[in-house]
Amino acid sequence: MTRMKAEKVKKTEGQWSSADVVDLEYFLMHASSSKNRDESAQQARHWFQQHVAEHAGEEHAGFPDSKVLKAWLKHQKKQHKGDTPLPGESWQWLIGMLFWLLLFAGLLAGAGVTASLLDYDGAQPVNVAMFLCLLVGVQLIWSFVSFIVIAGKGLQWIPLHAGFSLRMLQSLMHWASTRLDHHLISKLATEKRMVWESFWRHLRDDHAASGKFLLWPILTRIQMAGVMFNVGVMFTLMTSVVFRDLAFGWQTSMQQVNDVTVATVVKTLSFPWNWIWGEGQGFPSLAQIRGSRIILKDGIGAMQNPYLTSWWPFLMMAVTVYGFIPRMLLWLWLRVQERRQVALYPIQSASCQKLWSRFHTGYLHVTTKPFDNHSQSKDNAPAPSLLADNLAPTAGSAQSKVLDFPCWFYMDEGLGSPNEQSKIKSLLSPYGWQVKGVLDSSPSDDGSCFERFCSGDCLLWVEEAWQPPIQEKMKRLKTFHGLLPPGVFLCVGLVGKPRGVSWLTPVRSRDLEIWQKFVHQNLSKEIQVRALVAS
Amino acid sequence: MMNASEIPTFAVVGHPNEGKSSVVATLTEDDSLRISDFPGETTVCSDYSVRVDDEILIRFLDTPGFQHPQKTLEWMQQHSAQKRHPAHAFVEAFREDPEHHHDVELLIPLAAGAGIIYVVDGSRPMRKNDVCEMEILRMTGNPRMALINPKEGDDSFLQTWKENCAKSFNLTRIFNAHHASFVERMALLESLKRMHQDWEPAMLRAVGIFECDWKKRVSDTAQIISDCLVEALEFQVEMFIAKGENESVLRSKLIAQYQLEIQSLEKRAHSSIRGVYRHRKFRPTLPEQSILAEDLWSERSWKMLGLSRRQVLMAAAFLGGGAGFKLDILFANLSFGMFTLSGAALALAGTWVKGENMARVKVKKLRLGRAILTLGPNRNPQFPFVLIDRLLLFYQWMICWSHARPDLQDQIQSIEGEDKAGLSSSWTKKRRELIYKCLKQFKHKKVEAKAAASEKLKAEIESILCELSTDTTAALSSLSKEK
Repeated sequence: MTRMKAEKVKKTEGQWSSADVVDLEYFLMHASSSKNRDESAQQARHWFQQHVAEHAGEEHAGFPDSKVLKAWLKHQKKQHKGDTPLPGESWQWLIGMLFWLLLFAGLLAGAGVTASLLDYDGAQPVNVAMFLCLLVGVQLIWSFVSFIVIAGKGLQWIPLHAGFSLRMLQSLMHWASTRLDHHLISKLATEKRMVWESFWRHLRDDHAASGKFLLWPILTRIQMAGVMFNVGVMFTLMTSVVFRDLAFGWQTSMQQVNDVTVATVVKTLSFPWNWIWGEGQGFPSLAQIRGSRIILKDGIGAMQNPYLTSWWPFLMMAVTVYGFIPRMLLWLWLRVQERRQVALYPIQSASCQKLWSRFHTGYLHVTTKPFDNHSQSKDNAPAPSLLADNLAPTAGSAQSKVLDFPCWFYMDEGLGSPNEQSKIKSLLSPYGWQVKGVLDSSPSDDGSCFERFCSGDCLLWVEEAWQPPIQEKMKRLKTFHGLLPPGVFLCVGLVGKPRGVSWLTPVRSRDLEIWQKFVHQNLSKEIQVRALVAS
Repeated sequence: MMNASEIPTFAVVGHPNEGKSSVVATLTEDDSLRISDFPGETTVCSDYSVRVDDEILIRFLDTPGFQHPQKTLEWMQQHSAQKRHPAHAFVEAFREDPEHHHDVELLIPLAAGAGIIYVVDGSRPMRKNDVCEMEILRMTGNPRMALINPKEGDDSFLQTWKENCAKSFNLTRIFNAHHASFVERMALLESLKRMHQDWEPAMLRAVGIFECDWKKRVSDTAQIISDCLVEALEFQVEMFIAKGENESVLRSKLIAQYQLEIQSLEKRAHSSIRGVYRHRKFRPTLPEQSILAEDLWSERSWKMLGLSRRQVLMAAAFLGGGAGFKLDILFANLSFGMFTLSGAALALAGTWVKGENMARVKVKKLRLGRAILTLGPNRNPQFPFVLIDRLLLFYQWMICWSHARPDLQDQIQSIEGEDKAGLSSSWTKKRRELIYKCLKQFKHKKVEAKAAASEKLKAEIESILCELSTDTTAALSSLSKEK
């Protein structure tokens, strides 16, 4: 017994219910929001690799495997924090409520209508034709129309949401879900409440597009109301027959309709069961029909009792065969459809396919860490930046005024530079520089080249501002700054990026700032840093 | 899973401030990298591993710049007789010296055998230090590639760089880290595989995974755009008119609310697209003159984006004619094409009459003397095209926006004009009509028809995005047009 139960549980584990689908939609919507997209993609892929790919391999099937999706859903449900109810639970509750509501409504409606039709006070028998018309004829037409509508919806000839009863029920569910939401989520944090509300909105607005899984449970429950209506009719008829004195009869004003015609109709109608219960049992005989004809002027006294009660088996069978059984068949068909649609959902839905492809797509990301081949390095502590503090203009550094004393020109970078003294002088004089002389070669490490310098002279060390002030350069500047004779000072003259053959171009202010900062912080604030050509 | 030695590892090296971190940021699409125009900001060697799940595909090592190129070269040349790897020997000799910290950090990965990506700014002239650096790298004997990154767009020095790099490197490529499109990034990765034969299978696999990931992103973006369009087209707002309230005031309030809601829809789509393209840290700022910086409802947006009036009318006529044609077929063409003609004429007239009207405010009378004002859904034929143009422009902005740098706008020239500058006006007639047809379907109440139209729309948008993502030139040109 326990084994059978366990097997049953195992079998149902792989099956989908509409509540599962609602929960799946909820998790998928949550995963596709821009905030969670990355994290969810990573988690989904990680879960797939750990739980599926490791055992079954990574082979990419074209369609999602519903068992895998169900397992993922189970995992998600487990991970779900307890303070927020899952929408599947609410959906299950709503559908359950709808089921019981429609079940009792159908039962009561059937019983009520039948009870009023079977109203007999001994004066006039119950009109069989009226009973048949209302409880069998109308139902038969209704069942037929329902069949056409449902088949039309299934085959997509009719819009899914067409139909007054369906719309009414949907509105009712909308209202109930809003109340339920309000009741359940009023205590939740705002963010979670928003997620919850947006999910319900998404389902209400979009459920037909994303899947038909929400429609079929409603249709099934409508049919359940139909089934219960017939149960109500049969139950009331049966109890009335057993516990009350009833009389059935038929009447007509038409000359053309006589006992024989009625007998033919009755025999034809009882065709589905007359092979089990024959004449007089399953349907009234000609004599019984003749005897139960109501002629108002003769009154009920002229009719014989056995004939008056002979109709009820026929009526009961008519309701069963033309009312209850078609409704039951429709209900079964819809149940199958519901299960089919719910089972198809994980395979067909676009969001599930997206999840499936997420399972099979490697999660691409970048991780950052210090390079780990540091065994050779002394320690892993990051070296300080070449400049510790933020870049801000040094006080008094933004001088654009030209030096008004003679300078000795030196250009560290060869540049194929114009090294003729006169050429340099003529080039710089328009910018206000008084060039006293040009150092043709790099100043020697012993400082002998500074012998020609007089006190008050300046060594104009020309650098390309767009080249970053690297440590090697700073070190050189520092060396020569130390070698300068007393009274001679150092000025770093900056030029911009060469344009064609011209190297005397304006400097970008950002480059000037960088050089000023580097020189003043790493070397000395006495060294002036200027642009040769003002920008 | 690959062994550590089989994982292609590339050290991105170069002079300070040449854009090494930008190259790493662009290749890894990681905008968390510290990028500064101040030289010497990178002080340690950092490992940026591109992973698929837990497996490392490629490693990019961002290194500090050379601080002593001349001295390092001199030292290496003096010790070239040693059998040890020159980078290894240098690291051994100077690892205790704080002055050479940057150079040691730079050479550690080279000593470990990493491939070299030497980044140079191709928009500046070549100097002594560059020659020294190239020589140092040549001496290591590691597989190496020169990446010329023209930071400022000046190409007058490019040829000199190319010629000199060819002497010291196995491969030379021009790669602008700030404007590199997906295709260019893939081309660079493709060429990296040629640096070392052993890395070829791993690089091929990495390229495949990158492409797959890109396709997924395009598909996600198409979904976001299509969802935004559908939602905007079906959107409507309502407002109750209480007794004694001024209807005209309420009308303008309703219009303002409607416009605000549609704008927030657009913003939500922007945020989603930004997430898809991993612009997490920096919010790409739009150029001041960008049409995207303007209101969706601004006159300029409607003037420059969407279809021209003629294009809208043609699309409507085509759709109307199509519906009539089906009737003609039904009547075995005994109607001599009358339905086709009438359908086209009716649709044309309808669209002409609707013209530039926005969604109208309607008043619904309720019981007990109450009334409700409704606005939407918007049936203006231009509206979806203006919105789609704006979303596509934003997409282009995202794919052109480098992870390396948050100020692309300086590269885009302003083009002023009166003509339509959106993408939709340059679509083929077939594409315009297809999209128009899909958008029209959203008027129907039939949910299945809407779902089918939404799928079709998404597929078409996906193909537009694919075209845009493979053609950055077009993307950049339309971004300049929109200014």
